[in-house]
Amino acid sequence: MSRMHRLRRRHATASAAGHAHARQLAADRLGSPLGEIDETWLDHHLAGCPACRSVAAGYEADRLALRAMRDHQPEAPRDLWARTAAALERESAAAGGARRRPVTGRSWRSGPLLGVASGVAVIALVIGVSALSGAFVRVPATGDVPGPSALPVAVASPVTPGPTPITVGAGSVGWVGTSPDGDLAYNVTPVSQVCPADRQPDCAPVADSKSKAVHMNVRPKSISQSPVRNQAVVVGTDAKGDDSVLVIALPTAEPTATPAPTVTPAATPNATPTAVSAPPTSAPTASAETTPTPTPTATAEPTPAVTPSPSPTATATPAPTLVRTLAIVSDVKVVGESAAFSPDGAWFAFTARPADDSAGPDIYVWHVGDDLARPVTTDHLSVFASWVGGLLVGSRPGAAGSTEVEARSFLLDPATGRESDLSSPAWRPVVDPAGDRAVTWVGTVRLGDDGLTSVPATGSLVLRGFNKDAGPEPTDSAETVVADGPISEFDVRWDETGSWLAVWIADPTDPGIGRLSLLHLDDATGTLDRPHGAPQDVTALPGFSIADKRLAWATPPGQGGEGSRVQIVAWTDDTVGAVESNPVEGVVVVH
Amino acid sequence: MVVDPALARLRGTFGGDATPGPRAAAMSGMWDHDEAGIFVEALFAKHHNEIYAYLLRMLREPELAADLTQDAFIKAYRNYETLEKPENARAWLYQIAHRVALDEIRRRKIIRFFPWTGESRGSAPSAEHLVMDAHLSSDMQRALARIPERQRAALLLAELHDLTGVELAAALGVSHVAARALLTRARESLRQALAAERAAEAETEANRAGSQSPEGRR
Repeated sequence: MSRMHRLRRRHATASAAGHAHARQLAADRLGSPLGEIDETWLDHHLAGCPACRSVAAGYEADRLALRAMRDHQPEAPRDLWARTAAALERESAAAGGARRRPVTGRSWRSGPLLGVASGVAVIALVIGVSALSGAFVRVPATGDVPGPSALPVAVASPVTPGPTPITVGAGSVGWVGTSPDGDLAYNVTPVSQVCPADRQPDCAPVADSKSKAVHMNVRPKSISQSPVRNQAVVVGTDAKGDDSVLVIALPTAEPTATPAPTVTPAATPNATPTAVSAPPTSAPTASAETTPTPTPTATAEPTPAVTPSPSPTATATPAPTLVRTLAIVSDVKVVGESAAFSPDGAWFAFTARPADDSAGPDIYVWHVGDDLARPVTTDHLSVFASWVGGLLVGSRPGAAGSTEVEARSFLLDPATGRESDLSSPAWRPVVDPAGDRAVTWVGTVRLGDDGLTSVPATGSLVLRGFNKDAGPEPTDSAETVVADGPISEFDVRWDETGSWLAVWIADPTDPGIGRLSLLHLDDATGTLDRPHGAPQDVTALPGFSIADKRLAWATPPGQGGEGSRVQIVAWTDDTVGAVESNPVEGVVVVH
Repeated sequence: MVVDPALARLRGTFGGDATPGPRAAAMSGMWDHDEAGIFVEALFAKHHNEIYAYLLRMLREPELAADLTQDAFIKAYRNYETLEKPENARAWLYQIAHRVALDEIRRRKIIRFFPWTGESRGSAPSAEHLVMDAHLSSDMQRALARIPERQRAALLLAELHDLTGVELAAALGVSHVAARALLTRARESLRQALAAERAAEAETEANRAGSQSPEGRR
């Protein structure tokens, strides 16, 4: 090879390397600025190299064309979350067998609820509400509130991708339902995220992985949890169809750490029953003088202990757990829905009358730690309404009889039995936690269909100011009508802040269902409003809970034999969202 | 980087700068797959559309992209313990999606696919599908399909999904320098592929015009 030829080749190589380097820098420059030396060199090179200039311009043009694709952002399929959530749940179930279950931590959608497979297509609940008459008429609405025909809660659907969930403060909702094998299962579900209620989002059902079996010989109708203890009073129906009131120690919400996933629960006789025991011969401390009074009989019901073996996976059958039960009264029929613990958790009050229909109702109280509940009224007319601090509020008709009469209310100290009348006529005032306001029936009462228990007759359910001397303030003061009559039965509960309340009104033709609404109290004006998305007149079974910015209730069983669902509405300072459970048989929300 | 509030909330649980992250928690035996589920749920809420878009652009098949998006989030759940810092979650998710895409592309190179015809399913394509097809059939999309998949991924992630240099490197599973070099090669490849596409298109148009002219028909 000649010297000239070698020089030409070297020049060509150097020139090719220079062009390649220039193109590389031109491409690099699109992603991030070059260093000063590279920038200067590139500019100098491009100035003298039309081909490289063209390539650099091409890079920029291609980049612009590529970025123009942003204008056509593809949308994921609308069912993608439903599909992914179902796959995640399967994954979670599979992983649970191999991975260590958490000792603590909130549960995720980790499994079927009481054996009902999760991830299945969920149909919107179709609930007949035509029989319900509209009675919420005078409460100003602050937003679009669905009527009875449209549940304002998010019904889980696999067809809508979920918008960003609403994160709400920490809190749980508890309920008891029946598992496929017939056992009762107690479930506490943390709910920290809900879906916007007005967008019917894809909101997968809440998890129930921490359900625990509970054993009691009644079918629960109402469950009231102590505000200070892991203990609840259960009103239920026993095998004979009679009402029974039990105190149960709730199983812990968290599963015990039992990592072995393959252990089969095995019933083990308990040599030393740990049930709350009570002398079986305990006599009631109060009894009626003139008419038969139900005789509270203490019945210790130690349930057989079963080796706890919570499965790490979300299994159909919750792990059996020992639950202690104590019957605090028997041979009664529990009246109404107003049973409640006192704010300090020391007392539980309810209304009952003899099971043999020999007399009307009286107020019963149970002091925590006692063996039995006892009646604190003996007139066979009185019903429990609510608590004001440590005093209970009761009501009774002004006169016995079947005609419409004005009702009176009173405060009663459960410890001493001392009673003081409230001067203003009212029936069952439900007082807020501060004792400043009450929702009460104002009007007349009459004997109900049983001929023994008074029910609202003519009047309205109203919000009024309240004081301990007079009770609900007189008519001429500002008041808000919550619902107009006729109303056969109602249940009103305030949350712990006194700013929110839920009102359940029984269906006049079927007291086994009713309509539930969530209302907000404007502290400044003392009026009620309905935030956008808050449930209004939704069909609900009796018994609901309202606390920790959450309202939970059970829907009536769905069509096709599907169980009820627990609906949970949660709110923040500026929005309301909802989520629901999978179907549950025989569900009762713990309140 | 802006951290999603839901993730930021979880950061307190998982540990941010001051406390151990999920990986450390996993190593200490504290890993909680319920928490992983919550975390992945939050990730999905925030990022599923962009992950789907990325996979669609990589593979050009909407149904497949949806399936792979689902796979990506499942893998995120399974590999939750590999995420060291929640603030890196997006790049981590793209890394997973990128691997899912590459796995699928590799699989397709091995498995021979029989062509699918819409008629066999007995359904006409929807309007949305037609729009998507047209979009995916642009010369840019065809050019992207021509270049090596790793280069394609680099371009898409950098130019359409706005990953930073560090995030791009993390998503591609290479060093920062390597990612930059890959991106540079990708620009050149795209330029050539686009030129080839346009040339082919021009030739097709010319042929069509020729066949429609009197001389061509003769």
